[in-house]
Amino acid sequence: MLSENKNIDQIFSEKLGDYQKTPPVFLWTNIQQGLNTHRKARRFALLKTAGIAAAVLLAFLAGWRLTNPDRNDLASQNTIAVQQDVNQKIETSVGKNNNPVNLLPADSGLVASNTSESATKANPSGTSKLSSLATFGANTTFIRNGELISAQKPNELVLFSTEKDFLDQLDPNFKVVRKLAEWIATVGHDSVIAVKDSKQLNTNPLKYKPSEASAAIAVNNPVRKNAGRWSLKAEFAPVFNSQPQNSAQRNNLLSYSSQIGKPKETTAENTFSGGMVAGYKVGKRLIIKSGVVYNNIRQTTRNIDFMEVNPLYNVPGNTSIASTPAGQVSLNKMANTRSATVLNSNYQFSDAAKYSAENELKQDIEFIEIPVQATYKLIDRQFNVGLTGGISTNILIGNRAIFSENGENISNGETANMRNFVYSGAVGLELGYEITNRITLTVEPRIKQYISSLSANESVSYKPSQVEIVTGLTYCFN
Amino acid sequence: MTNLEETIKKCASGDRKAQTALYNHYASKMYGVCLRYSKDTNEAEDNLQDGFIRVFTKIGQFGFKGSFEGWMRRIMVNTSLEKFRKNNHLYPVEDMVVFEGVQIPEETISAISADDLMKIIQGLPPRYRMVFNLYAIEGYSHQEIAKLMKITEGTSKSNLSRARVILQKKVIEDFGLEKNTVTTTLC
Repeated sequence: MLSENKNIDQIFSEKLGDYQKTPPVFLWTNIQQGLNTHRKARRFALLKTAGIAAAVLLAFLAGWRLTNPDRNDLASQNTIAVQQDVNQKIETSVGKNNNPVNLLPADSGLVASNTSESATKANPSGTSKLSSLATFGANTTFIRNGELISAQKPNELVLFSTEKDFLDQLDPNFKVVRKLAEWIATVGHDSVIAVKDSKQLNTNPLKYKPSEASAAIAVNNPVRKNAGRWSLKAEFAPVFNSQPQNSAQRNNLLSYSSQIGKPKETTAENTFSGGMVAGYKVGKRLIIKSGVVYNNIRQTTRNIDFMEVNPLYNVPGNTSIASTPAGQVSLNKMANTRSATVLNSNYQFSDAAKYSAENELKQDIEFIEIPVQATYKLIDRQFNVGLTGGISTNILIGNRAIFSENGENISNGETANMRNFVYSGAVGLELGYEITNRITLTVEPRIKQYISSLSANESVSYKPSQVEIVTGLTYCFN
Repeated sequence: MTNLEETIKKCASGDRKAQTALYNHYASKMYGVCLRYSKDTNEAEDNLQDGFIRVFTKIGQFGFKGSFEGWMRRIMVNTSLEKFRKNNHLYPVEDMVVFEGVQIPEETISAISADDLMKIIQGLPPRYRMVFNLYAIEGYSHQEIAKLMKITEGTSKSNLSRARVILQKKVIEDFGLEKNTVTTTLC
């Protein structure tokens, strides 16, 4: 008897302790999908962590650069390092003017000449002790044996703090020299200046002939226009997605118009993108860029039909599916399907479809974009204009679908068969304004086109395009 | 599955074939566990699915120090308990029955199938079902149950007692005993 022989615990324990039952076949498919989603989530978490770490590092580096004025000052100067002997031989031969140019104090012992002839007269050896036009550029400093040499000392080099100082000392009659000086001041980024032209100049404006014991190394740093090879840009953009064509994947049952009497309609929503892009100047006008940019595509389908358990279309028992231009959407089975037009396992519209409330399916697909772009500067002044083009690898990091009715979420799911990696191309016109020597504000209208379909399903060709107005702040290093 | 340890290691490295083999080997047993903790097959399927995803994502943490099946079973139980806590079922106290000298013959007990008992246990209010399963079938103490379910030991004992009463009542009703031995009271 129960109370004496076996209590209720024992009965259940013995009979159910090792109870076994084969689960439905679709469950393993769902588990695999869940594992894939988990893997993507983990990958995204890693990317996010790496992104945050990179941003912190970049912020630190930028801050360090900004708060290190000594370094910045030195970097903006044109420096000529003279290893041992300042009295190096420098030849200058400038223009057709025959009048010598005395740039230096009378007691300096240094003579400048503007023609080879006059130079020879002034210095029988055909050389001068003067660095001469090498000092034309602004902010010039001379260093000997690692020490700064002060200006205006006898037998030393003469410094001009600005090109204006120098020009002011030029004889107004020496137009050629003045012109040359102006030109050098504007070019200002090549270490050794070579003038191949011209009728006015006999040969190079500057020609160093270091002695065996001494060598002069002229190192110029770029002036504002060419400030730095490396740059970092933080950008943000409103994104206008192209309207999808409602002609992608269909099947006979799902293409029926909704029972609520309104046609299915899919519209793209505007989103945003943003990220960090590093640039490297490979030429005078050409910049190569790459970085990490977040981007997403969002679309909403209204008056959508759903199909539930249907072996014909391999729809498992715990999901509802719908067709959209981006492919099939798989949602968790809706317990209370009130507004969706449900097709049951007998391919009949279910009673639950008699409601006429509005329904809405939102699809949100998120990418991390790694662009490789080239920008060619058409105009490279304070206001600059450039053409940008490039390709991007887009890594899928988010795939959500939310079905709602009158603003109330009914079920969640995802768009099926989304590719993990898709490629896109973009072209744009970059308009920039240099706020300071290092910081440039840019606005870039850009058109982006996905080259490959976002869906791995061969019957779905979903290649949206986007128009972005990319606004960014660029910081130039060096 | 020839070598469990090797299969587990392969699963930890994400080998899909090994995962399939492991699933095929344990799915039926684990589904049985999930069914006991759920009110119906849909809930059990959800729990089994979530439980296996958790097994495969945490399988690298299994230290080969005990039974792997026991480890999996604990994960399934914990998954079911978490789902229960998340849903926060607040069921009203039901009509209770008090049995006086109810006795079930051995023959009757052996005639009851596991499927019949499963239906009965699934019919229990969620909290009673959890406590009964943990205590009577998994072998947890009231102290452990209280920790797992974040309730007091007294509540655990009370829930167990009530679960037993309901189960007894159902067994008697479904498998035939004199009805005059059962009295119903409202608790």
